[in-house]
Amino acid sequence: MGPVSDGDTTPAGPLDAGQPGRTVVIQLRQAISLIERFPALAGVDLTVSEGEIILLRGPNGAGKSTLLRLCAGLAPLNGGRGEVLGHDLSSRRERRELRRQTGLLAHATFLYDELTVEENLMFWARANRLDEASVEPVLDRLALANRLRHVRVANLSAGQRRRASLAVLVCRRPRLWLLDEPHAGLDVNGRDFVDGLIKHAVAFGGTVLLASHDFDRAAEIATRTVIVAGGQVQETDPSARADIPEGRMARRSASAAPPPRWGREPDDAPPSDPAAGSPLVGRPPRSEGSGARLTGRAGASSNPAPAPLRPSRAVAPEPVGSEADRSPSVGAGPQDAGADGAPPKAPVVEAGPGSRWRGRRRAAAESG
Amino acid sequence: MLRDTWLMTVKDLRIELTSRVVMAQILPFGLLILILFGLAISPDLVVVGEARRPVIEEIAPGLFWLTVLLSALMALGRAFALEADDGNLDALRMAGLDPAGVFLGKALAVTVQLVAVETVLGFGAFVVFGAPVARPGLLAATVLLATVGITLAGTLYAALAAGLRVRDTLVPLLVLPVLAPVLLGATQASRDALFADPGVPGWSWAGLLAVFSLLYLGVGMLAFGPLLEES
Repeated sequence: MGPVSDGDTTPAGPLDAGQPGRTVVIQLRQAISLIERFPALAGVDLTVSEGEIILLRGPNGAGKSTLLRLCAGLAPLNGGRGEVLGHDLSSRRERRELRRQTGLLAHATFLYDELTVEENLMFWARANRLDEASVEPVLDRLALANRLRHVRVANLSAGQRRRASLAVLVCRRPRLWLLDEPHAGLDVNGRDFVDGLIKHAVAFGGTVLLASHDFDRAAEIATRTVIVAGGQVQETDPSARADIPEGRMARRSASAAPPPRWGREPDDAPPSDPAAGSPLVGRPPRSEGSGARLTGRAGASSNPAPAPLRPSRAVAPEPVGSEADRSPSVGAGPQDAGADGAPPKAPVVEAGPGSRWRGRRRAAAESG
Repeated sequence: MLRDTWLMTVKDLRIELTSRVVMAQILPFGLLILILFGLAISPDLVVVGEARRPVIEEIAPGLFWLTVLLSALMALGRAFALEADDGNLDALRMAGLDPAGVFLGKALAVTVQLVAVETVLGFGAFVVFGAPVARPGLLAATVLLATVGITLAGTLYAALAAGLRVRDTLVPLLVLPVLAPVLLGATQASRDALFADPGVPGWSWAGLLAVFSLLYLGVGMLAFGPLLEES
């Protein structure tokens, strides 16, 4: 962990060890992020392990979007400490490296109105130093390959723009997916696709943070719910972290999370071997002898090699009933990850009395 | 860096080919200004001295470059509105493009568009002001160097204001004072190119334009990264 950024006056404790035996992807300790002079994040503590799907809940202006931007390396860390994918957020250079490995679906579409859908995807694929061949499967999966391919983005409906924006995100094949209202503006097909994509991304080694007001739908796929209010994490579900299957979900649950296809059921025959690669997420499949990166530099690794994640400092799993198990951060919860390796159901935070959020305790309901 | 430069240039030019904002809006704007200058200044006025040229011919270089400056401001604003309007600056940052490449790419695209505008405006100025061209080589060099200087400095300051809501009004305030040396140098060099005036060292003024361009090339390549980071 490097030095804290200038102007940091907040004493920040040591970073969380995360879940034992699991790689920590996001570690924030008393993180402060200012928008001009307004503290959009005012001391956030959050630890996210690999393979988690975190649902951020909170009222408008709570700081959810800023938290996502901070994790994307776009918002500054003005105080406290933070690491994402092993990159120190207080270092400008490391934030630049981090950005290449994250994908942000924001309110802005990141599209050029005057270009067609295909031109936009090709531009961003080249800008991100991706294989041009990776664009076509994405266009196909998102049902953009035919009628909409040559339509200017300015002429698309809001939902279609969102779909094109999602296509750009998928082309990036990020390790950390940061989704700000991913269901907004989408029809049922689109929402189903987003859900399938999230499950598929996690199955192939990704980690997802999503902020959504479509709580019922988001809670179906989330492994943990975090409530954000007033620029701080108010409450996090203490039981959810034990629900994540041991080891990388990519290796075990790929068959349960087939690559989604817009407007249709997921593929009947998902890749049986996750190492073979997904058409949508994870490490891009490279064609044989493909030197067709767009850098023009032969042999140059255009997609930056992922930085090695720092393993959790508590790498040895604690025995059941240990102190760590009883701690709020690693408390034992219902192990509702199915034996088939399906993504675990979301335990929902029960907000305290007087809370403006009406939480539901799924685990209790299901057992009932 | 060169790859990113080319990528940005091609993208911006492709957008212009599709939208035709520069050629369909900014160019007519420049032509209108030239015509209004022609209407505002009587052709009967004659400059005192040996040459006894009409006033409108005498001040034609200054009016032309003033028109180019105003057109350039619009083109620069347009170039960064493309990036700022839908969060594309964030996407550029996330793509990890070389900031110097982005800077050069944006500047090169605006330069190409501005040279096209200047070519048409030049013919317009010839029709409206009727000025002859005595030294076409010096005129071509002046046009090229002044345009590069305008776009390099303008791109830098337009990027500075790109993330601000008041960028449309702020960019002229920032850019016009900075471009005063370009206006002066381009006007003097053009005067020599048009009239072969022995009292005006045209190539020296062109040298000033070259120094200005080199200065902003270096400053822009160094400063654009932090500017992109903060915008």
